[in-house]
Amino acid sequence: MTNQSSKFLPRKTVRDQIEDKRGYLFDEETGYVYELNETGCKIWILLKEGLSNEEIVSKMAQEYDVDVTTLENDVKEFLKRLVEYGILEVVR
Amino acid sequence: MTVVGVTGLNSFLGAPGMGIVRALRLSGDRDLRIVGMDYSPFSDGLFSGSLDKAYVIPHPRRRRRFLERLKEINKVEKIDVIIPSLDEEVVLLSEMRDSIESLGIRCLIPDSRCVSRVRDKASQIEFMRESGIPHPKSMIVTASSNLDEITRDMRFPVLIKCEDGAFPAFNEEELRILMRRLGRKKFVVQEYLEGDEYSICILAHPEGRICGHVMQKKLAQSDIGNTLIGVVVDRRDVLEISRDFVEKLGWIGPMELEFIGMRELYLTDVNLRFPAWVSLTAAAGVNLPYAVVQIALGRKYEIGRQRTGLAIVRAVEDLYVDIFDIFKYK
Repeated sequence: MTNQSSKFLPRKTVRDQIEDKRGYLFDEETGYVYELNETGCKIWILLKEGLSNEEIVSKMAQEYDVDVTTLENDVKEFLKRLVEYGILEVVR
Repeated sequence: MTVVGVTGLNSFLGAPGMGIVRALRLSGDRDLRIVGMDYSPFSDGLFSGSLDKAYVIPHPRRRRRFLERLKEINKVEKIDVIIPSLDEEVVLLSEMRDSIESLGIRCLIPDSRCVSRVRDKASQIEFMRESGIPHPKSMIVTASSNLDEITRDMRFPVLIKCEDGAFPAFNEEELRILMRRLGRKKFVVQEYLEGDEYSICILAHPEGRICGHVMQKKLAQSDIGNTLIGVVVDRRDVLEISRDFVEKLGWIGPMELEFIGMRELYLTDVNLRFPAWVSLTAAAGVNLPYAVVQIALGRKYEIGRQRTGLAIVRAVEDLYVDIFDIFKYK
């Protein structure tokens, strides 16, 4: 469904409130509220800046002391879930 | 000066009248005179201080007396528009529409033929069936119906729905006891579905279309199913099913529709009036009670779009009144 260069964007029906270490997403269509942890918030901010999957991993790797494969898998899993929940749409 | 009559002022029992009053006040229109009417002299709304004047009226079951009292009140108040808050009042006013209008009172409700198609839970299910509106599996039964037939076709738990409310039955024995206790001519046994719950407050224009709406997702409910917290959402299928329902029925005026489901939604309940949470419509930018007044008077009125993400927390406010004022309406 997606690959490293896939780009995701928040759906227009999603509103966010991002704080320092946690954040919330509100889907105004279904009424669901999702809580993000610190890492989730960072990925979300990068997504909103329009970065691709690959670019997000690269940015995160500069910040976290973790091997790239683990990071790739974690980011991929996070994005996959947000797509499943209808929070993100794949734009390419 | 526009004089608006509002009924159903007992917020404690879940009547929407005071929500309507609050929305009318939120409109900021200082030219409104709000006349409250309730059949209980002890309804909290009578003592709220939000009304310009309050009256006790007979219960709508006392048809003739109801109309006589309305005439008496109208002589003093010269009511322009009345907004009924109880299903029974909507039924009665639709039947008395000519008499009400001859008093110079406008009311945004459909004719009695339309109201009779959805006046009780059983007719609502019949209408949904005829019109292809998605709803949970339901049977219309009477106290003498064959229990085996019901239990063969339905999956427990079920809800028994009648005028007095909805009662759950988790097995055949509970259903048998409930049916005996209710002993009604006609009621609905409906399969209980699990899922997210939504309700929509709509206003249908006399031209036969929904001209304004606010919908909420229920986030927290009481043990008996009253919404404690809700949030304004914009789920397309809720609006599509509601449009279909209203247009096929030819409804005019306020209505509340309730839904349950996950990916697919089912219509579970219909109320022929504004819901108790109606003040949320004004807070969310779509003041439906105020729109009723304007449309009923034939004025042009631009209804806005709802603001999603706004949550409502239902609350009860205690009032402190001098003892002699308590008996003012007795």
